[in-house]
Amino acid sequence: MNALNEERSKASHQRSGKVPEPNRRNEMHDKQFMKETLQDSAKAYQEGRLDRRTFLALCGASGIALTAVMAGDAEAAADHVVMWNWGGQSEECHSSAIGDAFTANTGKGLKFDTSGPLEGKIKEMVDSGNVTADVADGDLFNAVSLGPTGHLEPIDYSVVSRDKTLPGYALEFGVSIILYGYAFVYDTKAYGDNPPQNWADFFDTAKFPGMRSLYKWANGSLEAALMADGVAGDALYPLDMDRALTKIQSIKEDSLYWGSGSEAHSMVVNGEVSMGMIWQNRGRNIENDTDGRYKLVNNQAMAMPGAYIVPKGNPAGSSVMQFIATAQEVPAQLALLDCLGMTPSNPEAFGQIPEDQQDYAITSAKNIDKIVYNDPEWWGKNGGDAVNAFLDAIS
Amino acid sequence: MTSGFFFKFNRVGAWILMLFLVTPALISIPVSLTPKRFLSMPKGELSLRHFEKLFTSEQWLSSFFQSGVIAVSTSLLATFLGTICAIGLWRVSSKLSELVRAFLLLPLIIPQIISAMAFYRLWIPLGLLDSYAGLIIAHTILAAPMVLITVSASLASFDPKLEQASKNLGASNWTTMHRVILPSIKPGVFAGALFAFILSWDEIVVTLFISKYSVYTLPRRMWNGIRENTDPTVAAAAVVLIAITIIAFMIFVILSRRNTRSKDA
Amino acid sequence: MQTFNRSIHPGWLIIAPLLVLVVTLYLGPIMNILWLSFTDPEPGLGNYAKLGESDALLRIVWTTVRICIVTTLFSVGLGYSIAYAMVHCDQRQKNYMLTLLLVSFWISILVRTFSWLMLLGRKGLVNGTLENIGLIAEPIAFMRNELGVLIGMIHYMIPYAVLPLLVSMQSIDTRIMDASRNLGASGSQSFLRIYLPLTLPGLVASTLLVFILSLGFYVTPAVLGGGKVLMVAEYISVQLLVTLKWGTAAMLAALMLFGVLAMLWLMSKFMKLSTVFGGTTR
Repeated sequence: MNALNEERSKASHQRSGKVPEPNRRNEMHDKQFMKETLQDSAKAYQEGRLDRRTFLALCGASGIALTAVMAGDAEAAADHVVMWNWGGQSEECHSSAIGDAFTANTGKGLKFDTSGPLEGKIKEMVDSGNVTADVADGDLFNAVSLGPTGHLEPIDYSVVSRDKTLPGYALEFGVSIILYGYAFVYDTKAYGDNPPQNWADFFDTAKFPGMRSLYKWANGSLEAALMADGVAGDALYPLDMDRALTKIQSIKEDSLYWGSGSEAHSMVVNGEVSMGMIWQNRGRNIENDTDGRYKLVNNQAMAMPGAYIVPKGNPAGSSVMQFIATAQEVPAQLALLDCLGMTPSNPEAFGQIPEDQQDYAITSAKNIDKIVYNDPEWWGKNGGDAVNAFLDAIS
Repeated sequence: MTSGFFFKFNRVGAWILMLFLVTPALISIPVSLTPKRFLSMPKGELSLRHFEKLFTSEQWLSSFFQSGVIAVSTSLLATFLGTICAIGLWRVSSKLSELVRAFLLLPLIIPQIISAMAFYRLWIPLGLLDSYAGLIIAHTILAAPMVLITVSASLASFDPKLEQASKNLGASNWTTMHRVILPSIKPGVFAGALFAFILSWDEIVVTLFISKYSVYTLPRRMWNGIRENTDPTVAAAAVVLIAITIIAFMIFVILSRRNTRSKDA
Repeated sequence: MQTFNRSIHPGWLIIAPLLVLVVTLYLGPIMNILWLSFTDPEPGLGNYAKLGESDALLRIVWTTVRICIVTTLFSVGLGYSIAYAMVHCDQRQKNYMLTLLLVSFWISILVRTFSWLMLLGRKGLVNGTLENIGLIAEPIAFMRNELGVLIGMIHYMIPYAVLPLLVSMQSIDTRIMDASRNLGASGSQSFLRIYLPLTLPGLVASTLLVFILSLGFYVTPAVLGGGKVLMVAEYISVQLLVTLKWGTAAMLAALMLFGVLAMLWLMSKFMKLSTVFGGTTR
């Protein structure tokens, strides 16, 4: 038994959790070996023949959470990374853009939990001790609000790269993978000759009469209001809530507020608003769905860092970091842009954005000088109060 | 007497209201034929792609089936528990039982998101997450109060003298229950069963919390991708369900007509 | 029989299953969460004090109560007239009406809200037709406001109001009304003093059901209200899922609970709830 333990310890020292070389044949052997080793050692540990330290080292080396192995789930945990997102196109696109490459590299599959990773749900999941997701497709400010309270795993920056995203968007508990954002579309039939060009025009219902739509959960709407009121794009934070809310209330009579993408979409497509704030990555779809009648304005668009965060105690353990690293690679970034409209956050990818998508990608050469960047630190700390203040102002 | 002015007026009013009730159903028919991939009225072209998707997509069919199983089970369980409970409360009829009745309305009063979190917390140690049983039990708890309300209403209209008469004629408690009381509260029981079924069929908030992969009900399928736009397949599903209801009712009418005819013969 | 009553009434045996189910699998975690109203973020009555300090919270509560009361009034009122018509017409018409009622049950909320926006929205069918005929110059704002919310909610609730009323109306002997008129009472007298009281159980059940269901509604108001009609159920959901202010959410939920219980208690003062809900006289 001791000889066997020694051999396994040696194996664990050799495999120190770094990414295995992309050599398919060895991969299959490694995987099989790992599986069997783990199953044997789980049994041995339970029967008292393997000491805890060695067992933990083995598990750690193969990147598998202890609980998953003990639950007999070694196979499942070793084989899959679970992504928690919102389903729909997001599921298909992440699968093709990142999942395929990840599986090719590591032999692990990608599974989706499409129930939507809202902060409250993440908190509840971690508090309950039954963590079933490895990575959540959330916002970078989630990392600031949930990280310090012990609900997230820190990002392993020896696997994930700090340089493959914009400066300031690689935080301790989350890293930005894509940028979505807030921009607006306007009705060309209503304003054909004199199109609106910035948020000041958006908030000017005298010069540009008609209904408006804004995001109900404050994010983006507050910044737009401040910019409309004259605040410079790089001087937005900390947000002057009173000033922003006064501006918001000034067009309250003419405003509708959307809480989900489908509402934003339907308000524009059904002609209920003359200018609608939308998630910038849906801009192209909306232009198509309205047969070109509504046009996207990227000037002063707000870049929002969408981020991957890892719930504490995730089942696949440290192998999720490899998944995140795969998502940062340029091919994955460009594939996400093509499929989902989400702009790359990896500066290496900016120059490679295809010609026909440059109008719609906020970090393309065409747009990158016009955009404003969201501050996840401010939103992480003040988001809750900001949302409530916004709701109070609009209701 | 039923031909007086008031009755006519009332009936016309009722038909107008019924039309009002059915309007969204009527609208869902053209919407289900829209060629676009988001909910919209078709302008010119019609397309059967959403029906095609509904009938050929394994995912949609499986969701339909799962929702059906869960809703029927919920309805049966909630109706059974709610009905016997209502009968019991009706028999006991004391201050304590009235308190219990008010208490049992709790799952209906508490906002669903809180119920969802409560079930989530308890279902984890019980191992009921992402399982048919877990969802059925949760839906039953949420739906039973509705059955309680409708069956209690039925019982309130039940003339206690009928029960007395039955006992006086020598029937046992069980026979009285079985052949006098239960038949008269049928309307309340059916109404409750219907409400329970619909609650489970449409339920999304609790489902989102306590199901992950194995259980993927129809509402989850419909709300999937709600961040982008609403898939018109939901309109196709609505049309299919409406068709089923109408066909089922026509069969019921034909059968009952045959029954009365054979009785007369 | 007498000695039996003094120990435990056999009725409790069949009350027990549901009671046990709710107490063991529901009550515990619910109390746990509601307790947060006293402990999150700090122990004490701070969350409840916010009700007094915050204008906004009171506004939301008032909006909710107002909308729920109006919805209940109209749903039950309209539901009563539908149920009344249904019991007073022949079997065939009644079957048709019942089918239509059932058909309206099947529409998921997504299709419903879309249909209303399509029908009554600014660029909807009704406004479009009225403008084409020339009756109006500007579209009427039916939707994306409180009126839209009310229309949507009343539409949803009417079947829930009709069925309990049907249940109680069906058991009324139609000859009672005839007898009353033969004895000299006018139509409205017969209705108000004979029929209406007989339908009281159905009326109470209907009102209770619709009111409690309305309190918990939030998808329809969120969409049809244009985001401006904020109701308590939605606010609670936002506090739980987005802003992580679980104490506030628990406080509002506890408030709702106490509100409904207080309402039940008030009702029991004005009428014997046990006879309304059905009780045998001993």
